[in-house]
This record gives sequence, structure tokens and C-alpha cells, in this order.
Amino acid sequence: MSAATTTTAPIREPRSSFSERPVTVRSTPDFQFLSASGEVTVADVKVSNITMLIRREPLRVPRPLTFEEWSRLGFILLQKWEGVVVESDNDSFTAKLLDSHGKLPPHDATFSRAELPKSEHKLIEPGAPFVWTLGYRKIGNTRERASVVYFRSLPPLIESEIATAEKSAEDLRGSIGWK
Amino acid sequence: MLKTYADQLAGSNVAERPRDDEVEVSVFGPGYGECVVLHLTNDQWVIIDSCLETGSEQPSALKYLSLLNVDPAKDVRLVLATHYHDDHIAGIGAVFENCRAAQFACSMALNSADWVKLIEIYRSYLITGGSGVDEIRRVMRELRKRGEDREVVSPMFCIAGRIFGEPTLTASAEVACLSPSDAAVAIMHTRIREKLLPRVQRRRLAVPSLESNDGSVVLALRVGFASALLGADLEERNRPGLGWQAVLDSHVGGADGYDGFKIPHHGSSTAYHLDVWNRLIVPNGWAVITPYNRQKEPIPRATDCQRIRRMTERSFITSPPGWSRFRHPDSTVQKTAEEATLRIGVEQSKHGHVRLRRSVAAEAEWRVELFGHAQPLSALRIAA
Repeated sequence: MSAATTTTAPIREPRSSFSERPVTVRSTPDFQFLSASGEVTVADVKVSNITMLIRREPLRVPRPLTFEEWSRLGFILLQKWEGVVVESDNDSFTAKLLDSHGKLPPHDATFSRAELPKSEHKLIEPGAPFVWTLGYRKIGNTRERASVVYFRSLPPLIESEIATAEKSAEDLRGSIGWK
Repeated sequence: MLKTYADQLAGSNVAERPRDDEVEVSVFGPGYGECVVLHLTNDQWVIIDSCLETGSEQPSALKYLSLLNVDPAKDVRLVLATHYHDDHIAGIGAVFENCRAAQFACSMALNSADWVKLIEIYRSYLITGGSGVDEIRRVMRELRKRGEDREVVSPMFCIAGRIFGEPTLTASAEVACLSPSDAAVAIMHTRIREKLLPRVQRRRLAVPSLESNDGSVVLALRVGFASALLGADLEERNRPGLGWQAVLDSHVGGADGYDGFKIPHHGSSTAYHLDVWNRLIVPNGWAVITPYNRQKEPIPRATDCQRIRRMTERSFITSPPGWSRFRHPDSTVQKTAEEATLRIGVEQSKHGHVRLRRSVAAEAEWRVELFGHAQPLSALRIAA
């Protein structure tokens, strides 16, 4: 899967300086990095009417698997929800669920923590995003019903995102008289 | 088969407009969310918070005003967000965009540079599903748009003691803020900075809710001889200067209590303070609750309902608390989902509307009308 790049002319720096593409990471059992679409390594910026490529920090944007990707893994996907934890306690967590295909209204569900391996319990906190898939897992010529909950490992915030947000917030505040 | 909200309204008198001399308090609650619509006589309307109508997914307030043939662009004077939680401001961006002549008001707790920074940071997040923060940002963008052709677009910030009267409302109507207190505002500003603002290299999460609702805006409404106390989500904190005790300590209203009470925080025990009932509400005044289903144990609980019924015989709920049974078109998904969860259900299942109207004249009585799944609390059955 190739990274999204923009090539424009004239290029003011040697092309080789932009060759560091983010590496596609295969990370099981979470699968989030199986595809790296949405990776951004370069951006075009106009300076004095000259368009040039500048390098940015690679931003990998993991996303839930598509139907086809699940199928390749031997999983017949019947329903996929994207969830966010609303509250949690020692035994369970309650979450808001959005249908990935947008066909069902928002649902709420309470899961037992036992649905996840103990090593993942630290990921359960209010605001944490996860994916819940339901379907059949293929095992040889047989199949079994399966429910898989996995927490998304989104990239942490980086300095430049905070700086951009601060600038944008200042503009917004100034224009409407918010303190 | 559950009847839809629209089906239930068919044939009802919901579309009957209030008379010019009538005050109206309409409370909407679909199981997740809350909205209050006020008519303060002579076609002046106020919208407090927002929720979406089950089925149409349109803001309840706009749908209702359209049924009444009220023009929101002209007749709504004020749109107010009591606090930023999703269940109180779903769709408030669309509400404000449609209410072109309205002022926007929100809690003074949100009047901080950190809050605006937080909104902009969460905008860049990669998590599906909107939040209350997105709705506030939509309101801010609308304010900025209006600023292009108007001089004043600043929001109005609510703090205990602020009164909305002229020129926002006519001289006969008054909506006063009883909270947040100065202490609550200071605490909320600190919490936003220290608990909500994301930091570099920290894990990326959807915007969490703060544990308490100290910044919530409680409103007192008086028009002629009609009055009501709208409790938002303010809880009792048992700490000086915060929660309902702060409201009681600073309240300087007349000896007469308020005629009715929009009960705070979905009737939960954390929002109960006996002196609020004894000192601020008239004996056997009306009370309205909206349920909150998005937690392990939906509220109000059976004990909450019993406690409220001891306070007044005239208590109503917009829809019964609790989740509806999960139904999926694929039987395999249905079975597997039920096995994999402790509970699962649609978050907005039963939409209801409690409408209270009365003339502003001295001897008038409040008239209660129930639409959709709204019912008297006495008729509600919740397993203990």
C-alpha cells in the first residue's frame, strides 16, 4: 500500500531527502497497521509563489480493517461496530457503538472485561476507541461464530498538531469574542 | 412492534400553539439526551440544550417548533447550552444555525482559552462519532459567520446572578442563572486545563466527560405569576461554594417557591438536596425527569423514582429508563452479540415529551400534557 504523496515542481531540495516512507507495520493480533493508507510524509507549501515540498513528521493513521481484509484473514464479517468507552469499573465497561456501515442507529453495550486478555485491560478507560466485529471465523472446512473486540492503537499527539490547534484556536477566539 | 414517536403524535394536539398569554415549558427526552423549549408569552421562544428525535434524528426543538408553525429564525430569542456533555447538546449546532435572530449562551466554565484550544485539538482526532465538543465548535463557526455582517457576535456567558431580560427577552419575562458559582467556574477552568487538554505523546482518546457537572447552568424562569426551576445536570457536591448548596446559599428570590422543577441530572441521587425541594419549590409542584440510558445502570433508578414521588405527586418522566431489546436483521449477529455482552440496546429508543402550559395570570394552573412515551412517574415500573 503506497503512502499518499504530492509531487509538484519545482522541487527545491534533492528528492532523496523525501524517500523515508513510513514502514507498513504488521501488528497482530490488533491488525491496525495492516494497511497504512492515509500516511502523510510530504506536503506542498507555497512560498513566494514557488511550490516546494517540505518534509513533515510521518503520521501513520491506523484504521479498522475493511470487509475484504477481514475475509483474507479467514473471517466472514457480518457486523462491525466502532465503539468508544463511556464508563468502566473493575468488572466491565460500557460503550457507545456506531455501526460502521451507518445502517443501524447508535447502540450502547456493556462488556465484561473478560472479553479482552488481561494485558489489554489497561487500555480500557473512558474515551478509548475500539472496534467490535461479529462474524464467522473459518477453520479448515468448518467455521465458528466469533466476536472480536480490539482496542485501536492510534498514534499519540505530536507537537505540531498541538501547535496547529493553538493557532487555530487563537484565530477562532479572536473572531467571536470568546475569552 | 414499538410505535414510532411520529406515529404516537398522530392525532394528538401536539401542534396546538400556546396562547399569547401562556407560558410553556416543554421537556423532551429520548432515552439519551435532553432538551427544554420555553414559550415566554407573545411568540418569544427559548431553547435550552438539544437532543435528537428518535427516528428522524432531527433536533427535537426544531421539529417541535415546525409542528407549531413557529419560525425559529425569527421567534427564538435565546439558545442556551447548560454544559458540554453529549446528552445535552446533540444537534445544538443545527439549532443555532436555524435560529438566526437568537443569542447563544453557555456556561462561564467554557469561557477559557484552554477550552477553545481543546475544541481545536479534538477536531483533528481520528475517532469515529461526534461529541459535544464538535457541536460547540459548530456553534462557534456560526457565530463567526454571523460576525461577518454584524457587529456583536460574542456568546453570553452564564454565571450565578446573571439575568436574561431586556433586550434579549421582553420586560415581562425573566430568566435568571442560579449557577455556576464563581468557585465552580474556577474549578472547571482548572479541570479543563489539567484533565481534558491532551498532552504531547499521550494516548489519543475521544474527549472524556468530567466526573462532575459543576459548571452546569441552573435557570430560574419567571413570567407574570408563572415560574419554574430548570436544574440542568447540577449535582450536590457537599463542598462549600459548589453544587446545589451554593445555589441555596446565594439564592435571594422571593418567599414564593417555583411552581415546578426540571429535576437535575436525570433524577439521580447525586443531584438530590432536600432543601432545594423545601425552600425553592412550592409544595406539590410539578416535576419532570428525563432518563439517561448510557451507563451500566440507567437512571433514574427505582429508588430515585420513589424519592421523587415522596416530594411531589405531580412528577412525570419523558420516557422509561432502560435499554430496549437488541434486534439485528442477521440472527447470527443477534445471538453472538447477546452472548458477548452483558447488555446491549439502542441508545435512543423511546422518545417522549412533557408539555406544561399556563396563563401568566395569578389564579391560573399548569396544564400537563404527555406525548410519545412520556408518563406520570406513578405509572412507571422499574425493577429494584
